[in-house]
Amino acid sequence: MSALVEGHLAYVTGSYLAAGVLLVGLLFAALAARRRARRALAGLEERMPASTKPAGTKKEAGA
Amino acid sequence: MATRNLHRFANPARFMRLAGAALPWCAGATAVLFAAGLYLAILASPPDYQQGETVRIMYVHVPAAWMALFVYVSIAAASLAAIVWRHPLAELYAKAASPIGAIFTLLALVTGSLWGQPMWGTWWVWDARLTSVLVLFFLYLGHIALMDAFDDTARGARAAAILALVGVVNVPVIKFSVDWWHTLHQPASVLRLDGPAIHPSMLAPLLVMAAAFTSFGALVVILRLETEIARRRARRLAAEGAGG
Repeated sequence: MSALVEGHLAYVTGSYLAAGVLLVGLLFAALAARRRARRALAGLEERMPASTKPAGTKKEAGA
Repeated sequence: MATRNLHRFANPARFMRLAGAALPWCAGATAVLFAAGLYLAILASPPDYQQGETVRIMYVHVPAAWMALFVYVSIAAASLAAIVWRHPLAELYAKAASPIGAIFTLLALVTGSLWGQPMWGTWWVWDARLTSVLVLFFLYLGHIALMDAFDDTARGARAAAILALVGVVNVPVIKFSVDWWHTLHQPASVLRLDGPAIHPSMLAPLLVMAAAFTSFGALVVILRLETEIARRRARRLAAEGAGG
């Protein structure tokens, strides 16, 4: 295990760690933002009177 | 004909139905390709006779750099479609893809630096290739900033689209910088007219990792597009509610 952070392998380990942090971070940020946006949309739709709701909005929001 | 096909997907609801169906396939392909790519890159491929184990950095660095360029060109194309045909999804795509391209560019810069220190003896040089990629990163940051710089989202999107179109001139500079100038960065070894100059045992993991990065990029673009469409719909509903 310690060999991974010795000599030139340390740079390889650092590169894969950087890739993991940046790409997984990007994915989780995208998932969290989508969840927040969908919740906000659902909340707005529930507050709206049925007569003013655009057709199909609820279904598309949850798709 | 092409314009008519382009407008078939202009309806966000229709696009999202397609994207929703594609999302699980995209996620599955990303997981499988990354598993195979990481196995090939870390365990199955041999060390280089000159670079040793450091060559494994290439399997992350090169796909990240390719994606940085590919995403920028796609944003420029989408910006053109948004300006010329007023394609509603093109503008949303440009906004959704910009941070993804910025992350790929940052990853290419960081991994390039981590490769440069053991191989060149320096983290950074103001070489034409490295500098033009840094300019690409700043273009991405400018694009992201411009998108949200105005209260009127249409004005912000238009300013960002113009920046994306002007900045596309940097793409051939990045690609051919190693041929046009004497640079420390090595010339192209895969995308060459006379074929790849890289051994198949190293080309295979590189291509699988490139496919994994592409699939990952598509996955995050779909997620961010869904987010943008939901946000715009919420803004419209809020405005309609406020208007009575």
